[in-house]
This record gives sequence, structure tokens and C-alpha cells, in this order.
Amino acid sequence: MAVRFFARYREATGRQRLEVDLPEGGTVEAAWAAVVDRHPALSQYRPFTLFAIGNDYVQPDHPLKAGDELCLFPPVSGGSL
Amino acid sequence: MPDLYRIVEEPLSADAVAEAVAAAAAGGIVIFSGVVRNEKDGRPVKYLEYEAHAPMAEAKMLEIGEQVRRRWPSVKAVTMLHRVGRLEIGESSVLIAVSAAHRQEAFEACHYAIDTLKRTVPVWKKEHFEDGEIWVGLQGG
Repeated sequence: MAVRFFARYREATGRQRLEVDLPEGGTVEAAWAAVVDRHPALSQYRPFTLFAIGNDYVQPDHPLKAGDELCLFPPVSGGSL
Repeated sequence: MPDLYRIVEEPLSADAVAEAVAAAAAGGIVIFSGVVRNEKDGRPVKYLEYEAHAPMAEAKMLEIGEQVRRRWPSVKAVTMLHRVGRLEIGESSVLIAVSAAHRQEAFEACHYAIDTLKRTVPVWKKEHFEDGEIWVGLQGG
């Protein structure tokens, strides 16, 4: 399955996407573990990370389907206040 | 005019969003403009960079607009625009316009919309200083 990185995470990994292999029914948390395996620099950010699939946030225990694209977000900081 | 929720790369115009929410039955229009300021905790800022997950950001702004309409039924129209890319000091990064029958609903709805946007819409801000840069929203790193 595909993982996409945004903002700080894109810069920290030096990439926008990563393909990871997960067993059927693997969770978001398992995908995170696979990503951190490849990019250990991200591990410190786990408590702050937001996960999304499509246009919706998902929880760490959310099961992933083949073809899902998991987005990893740092905390959002839009606006200008 | 239908409600409008967009991530854009061009400069934002307060006049244009006021026009977009104009309605014959609206007695008040409130516009919030978030502006790039020239300092952060006393440190001079050179410019800002914004990045978004555009499709999801637009979907989340639409959700906010739907919440606004449920909560304040007298709201006539909503527009939410967030700019991405490099922004200079004094430029507007976000514009929210709400028209309503009466001013109180327009103020409340606009306030709710910007506060919710900052919590839920996937947009990230990077501050560029003379001597470095930092992504906002996470201490350290």
C-alpha cells in the first residue's frame, strides 16, 4: 500500500511517497511501524501524528484495505494567528 | 452564489469574497482575514510558506460550512479560501466570509469557522526567519 508524507514529514524523509507491504487487515498503526522502520527519524513524532485516508481522518486501529493511500500529517497549522 | 471552499495559489481578495456571499436577505457580512505578520515571539519573520492536502482541505472546509448552516440557520452564504505557497508579510493567508440576516449570527458563524479550520483542515505553515526556518505546530524537531 502507499503512504504519503506532508510538510515536515516530507522533508524529514526526503520523499512524498513510500510503498509498504502489509498483511490483509493490517492497521494504520502497523503501517506507521513499517514507515518508522524505513525512516526512524519519524518515530519521535508518533504522539503528534494525524492519519488520513481519502478525505477523512482515521484512528490508529483502523484496518487498511488494498489500494488505500495512508496520509501522515504533522499537527495542522493553517490560518495566520 | 453557492458556498465556496477552495485552496488557492493566487492572492486573496476580501472584496471578491464579500461579493461571493452577498445576498438580498443578508443584513450583515463578516469577513475574517488571517494575515502574515512580521514577527514570531520577537523574532523577525521574512516570509511564510503554506502547504495543504488540497482535496481533503476543501472537503473539511465544506464540512465546516455545513456545520455552520446547521447551527446558524439564518446564515445565507459561506466562503472559505486558504492560500498556499509563499506568502509575504501583510498578505492574507485565509479568508472566511459569512453573510446572515443579522450581525450576531454572522460574527458567531465566522468565529466558529476560523477556530474549527485551525483545528481540522490539513494545512501547514512554515516560518522563514533570517537565520532558519521552522514548521509550526510541533515543538522541537
